[in-house]
Amino acid sequence: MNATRSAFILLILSTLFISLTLVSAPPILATSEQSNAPEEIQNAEQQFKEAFAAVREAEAAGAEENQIAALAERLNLALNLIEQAKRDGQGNSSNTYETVAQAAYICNQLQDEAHQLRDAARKSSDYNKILVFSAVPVAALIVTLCVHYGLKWLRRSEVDHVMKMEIKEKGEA
Amino acid sequence: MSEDLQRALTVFVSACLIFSMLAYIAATPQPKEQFFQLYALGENRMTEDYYPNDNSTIPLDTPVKWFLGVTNFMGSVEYVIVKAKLGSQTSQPPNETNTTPANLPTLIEFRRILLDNETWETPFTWKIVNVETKSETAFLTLNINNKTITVQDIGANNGCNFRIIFELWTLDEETKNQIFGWKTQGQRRAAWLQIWFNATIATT
Repeated sequence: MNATRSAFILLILSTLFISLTLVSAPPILATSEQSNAPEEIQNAEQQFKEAFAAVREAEAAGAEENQIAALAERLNLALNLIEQAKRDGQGNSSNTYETVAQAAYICNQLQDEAHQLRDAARKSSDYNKILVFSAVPVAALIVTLCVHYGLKWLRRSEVDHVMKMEIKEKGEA
Repeated sequence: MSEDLQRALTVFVSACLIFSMLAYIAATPQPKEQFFQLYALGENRMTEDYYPNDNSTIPLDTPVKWFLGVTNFMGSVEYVIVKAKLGSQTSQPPNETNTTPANLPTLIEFRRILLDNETWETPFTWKIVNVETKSETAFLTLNINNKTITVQDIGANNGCNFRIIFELWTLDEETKNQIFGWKTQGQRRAAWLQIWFNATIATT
């Protein structure tokens, strides 16, 4: 009987404890969210820097201008969102989170796209280099043949010129 | 070896050398001078009309409109930051030789990603909303692009010879930190400009 009563009291106490924890949870979360806001912004800024570095790599690898321009436009969008989050950070924190999350999402996407672009540009650049350098012996061969047959033609025309010469008497002309 | 074959070989080797050189030049990007251009224009987007009624003494609550511009000639996409600072006659301006920025409070900053050869312009509208005088030294409260800033550290005697300094900062690729100026071929360069003005002090 005593054991049943103790179990009952324990059950009531644990229910009370759990409900108290649940009730107090939202304010604790809200506080922690507020204190994390600058950290979130810093993370977004870090992601922005990484995305920017990725875009620069793509450009250095030889990506096309219009593709880089499109990436730069979205980088500016992410930059504006981070600036907006910094301004909102002093006031409404839920807005700040949304804005920062959006900026971080754009930066992540940009990083992936820039890496893909960089790889594609490197491949294309390598192909171009191989093409240009493999054209060297071909062009040299064409020049050699042109010079060879050109000289041959010149020599023949000189011989023909000599062969066509006529002997004329001095007074004839 | 016949004379013809000898000649053909000589021509072939020479042509190979010349074309290889041409291919190398074509495949290697040419180094060019890398720099930024920083400028400020008056309200009509010209290098004039910097002050209302051409008077550098700015009355309270009188809006002054300038345009700030940056052009990127670095040959690559760049992250630029323009910082506006308030200084007085005694403030140390930025040092181009040591590439040290002015040790002054930043009023506002503008950030932008710039493509190669791209020019970016932004309006810089400001007014003096309050002048606080402490023993003949004036301290200003400014409103820049609808943001109000009180500068308590920088004062000018009788409100004369204040200046707004614009500094160009970039993101350093190696350290991923903001640096004053930019790096080009292992060297640091800097660009900054300043516009002087006086603040009208209310006389009682």
